[in-house]
Amino acid sequence: MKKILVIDDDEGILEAMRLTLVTAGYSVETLITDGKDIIKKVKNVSPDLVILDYLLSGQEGKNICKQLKSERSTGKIPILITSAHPNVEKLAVEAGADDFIEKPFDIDELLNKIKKNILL
Amino acid sequence: MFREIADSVPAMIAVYNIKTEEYVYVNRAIKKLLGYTPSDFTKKGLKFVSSLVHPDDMSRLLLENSKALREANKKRHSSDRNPIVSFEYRMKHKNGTYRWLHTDGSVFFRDEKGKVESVLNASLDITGRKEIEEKYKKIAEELEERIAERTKTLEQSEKKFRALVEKSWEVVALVDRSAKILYATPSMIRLFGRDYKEFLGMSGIKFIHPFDVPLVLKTLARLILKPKSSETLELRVRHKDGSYKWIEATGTNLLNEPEVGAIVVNFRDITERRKAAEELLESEERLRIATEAGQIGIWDWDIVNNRITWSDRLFEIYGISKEDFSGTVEEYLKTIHPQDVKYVNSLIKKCLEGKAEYKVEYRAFGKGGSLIWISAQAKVIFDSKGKPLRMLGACFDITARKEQEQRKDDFIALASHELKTPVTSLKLFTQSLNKRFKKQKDHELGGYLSAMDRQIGKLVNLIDDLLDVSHVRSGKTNYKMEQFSFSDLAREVSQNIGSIAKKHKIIIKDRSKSDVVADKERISQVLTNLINNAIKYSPKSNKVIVSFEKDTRSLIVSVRDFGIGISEDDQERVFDRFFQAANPKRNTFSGLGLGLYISKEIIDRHGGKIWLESKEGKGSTFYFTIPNKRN
Repeated sequence: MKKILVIDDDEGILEAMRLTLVTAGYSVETLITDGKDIIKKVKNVSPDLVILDYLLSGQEGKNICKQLKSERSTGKIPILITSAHPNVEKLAVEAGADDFIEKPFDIDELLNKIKKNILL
Repeated sequence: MFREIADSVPAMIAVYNIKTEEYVYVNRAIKKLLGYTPSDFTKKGLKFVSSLVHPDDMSRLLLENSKALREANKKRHSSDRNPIVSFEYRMKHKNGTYRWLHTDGSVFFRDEKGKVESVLNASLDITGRKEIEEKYKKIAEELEERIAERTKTLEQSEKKFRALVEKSWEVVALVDRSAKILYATPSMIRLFGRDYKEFLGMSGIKFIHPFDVPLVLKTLARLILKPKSSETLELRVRHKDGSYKWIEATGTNLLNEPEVGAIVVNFRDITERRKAAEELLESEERLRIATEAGQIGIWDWDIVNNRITWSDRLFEIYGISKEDFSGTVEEYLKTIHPQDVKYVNSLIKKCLEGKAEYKVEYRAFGKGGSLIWISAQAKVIFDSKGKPLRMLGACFDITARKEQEQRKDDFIALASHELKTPVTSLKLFTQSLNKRFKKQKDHELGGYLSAMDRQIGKLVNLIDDLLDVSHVRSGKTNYKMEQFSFSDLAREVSQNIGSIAKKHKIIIKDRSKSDVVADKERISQVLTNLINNAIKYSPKSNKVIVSFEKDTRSLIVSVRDFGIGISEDDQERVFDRFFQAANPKRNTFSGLGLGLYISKEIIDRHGGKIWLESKEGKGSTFYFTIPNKRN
């Protein structure tokens, strides 16, 4: 079973994502964060895909994305960035993200993006 | 006895024997007159005396002498002692100078046949008189010359004057004390459209605007009472075509001058000046009212001299002291934010050419260099030839309003953003649950969740609109230009809408190839908006027609409905922010009234146009264009 780690600062999103992804047949880990120790936690979970909110309170998703991509142990994990701001797409790609999805999104849209990017 | 008498007179007396050509007698006065002694003449004879005569006078002397002798010889026995000849001539004095002499010659002695044998010449020195005469002659000549010159100048200036009077725009008329026209220059025709001859003998009052007649009569009466006085007034006169022209007339009372004997009236057309002045007065009045009403600063730019005058309020707005403001347009432009100055400057230029209206909002520097927003409006005043003379403007500090707008936009952006997060969760929950129920074949609950999802969809659209408005206002929206088939997009959009709005049939008529380069999502938004509106405002109809056609310049899209239509007044405002078509039963139509505003912004950003045609009760057709571009 593929494992997905969802990182967001909103509890509602995390719960909805858990329900969605579990229903779709994935193993889900969620991480509510104020931006601290994210790298360490990603390493511990070792997911097949990370869904990362771009604007996390305390630390920008951009920096986390860059850091994850630069580390040897996490560099190969696909990262899907989410944001309510449409203009973030370009910034997300620049930060090394594999894909971007704008909030709010439909389930099918999300699942398609996951299928496209998840490590096989 | 004779000698004694002769010697005692101041005149030179000489007796000359014609036959012997000798001077028989010369008195002593010769010494005084010519510096010689009597014996110098009596001994040396005619030859010597002749040599003393001025060469210029010689021939005249001889001629007159012989003529006089011939005459005298004819009257043989006359004993007349009166002079037979008198002449004035010059003789050389012993000192070498010439003296003017006046000589009377008379018969002194006749021979036995009665022929003149000797003559008596009495001569007076008239040099002094001659000199004076010469002087006067010279003066007279000079005077004559001067007079001739003056006459010539006068003739020339008279010619000039006549040309000036007859050909200039200035009209000169002579009227009598009852304002009857005695004379008028041909230039009258320009003012009155009638030949000046038509005026002769008529009362000038007939051509004056009835409102101005009392003033003219009063002025005329005052003028007549005071000879040589002048009065100037502005009045209206009637042109042949019935229109009135403003003239400035100056009357001068020359009734008592014998050469004139009339009141001289000079006047000229000041219609243009009056018009400009009236307009100025009007706009000044308007500005004054506006200024008092709303803290507006006014400025007056004298374009000819490049001088700007600011009202006190403007000095306050810009935080500049009166001493620090040089009053040139360049100085004024310095107050404007560097990013806006180019636009303002080019707009001013266009206005001076009469090609634009000065109505602008820009950023400027206020007190202590703080950023302020200025709303400005101005009017250019042109002369009759279309040359700009003045620019009158009003500036209003709209910083507070702009800040409020900015805060509002910021708030809308933040709020819509914050709304998105819970909506995202809501959507995921709804759709996940729907999937689960469908798996479990619970169609009833699944159906409710589908309905719930549609409502969430509407909520998402509203949030998107709000976010769009705030982004549009701050210019943040990025456009992703790509090539796509508009035909495909139209079908996609109509399918999406059709799945919700079941009553209306969306008919697509494509007449040409429809590849465009644009932001696909944005154009989809515009089309969705227009079709949704068409459905929303045609509750009693069952179709909407979407057609599009490509020409050399752009793709033209139209969305036609058969609904309630839009009144003419509203047609201009439908693209305004927060506008909603007025409806007797208000609140019948939902929405924030942002759709068309956003659509217009999107089409504008693509360089296209959006407009509508509508008739109340018949329906509306909205059009928009997407310019052809290469990807």
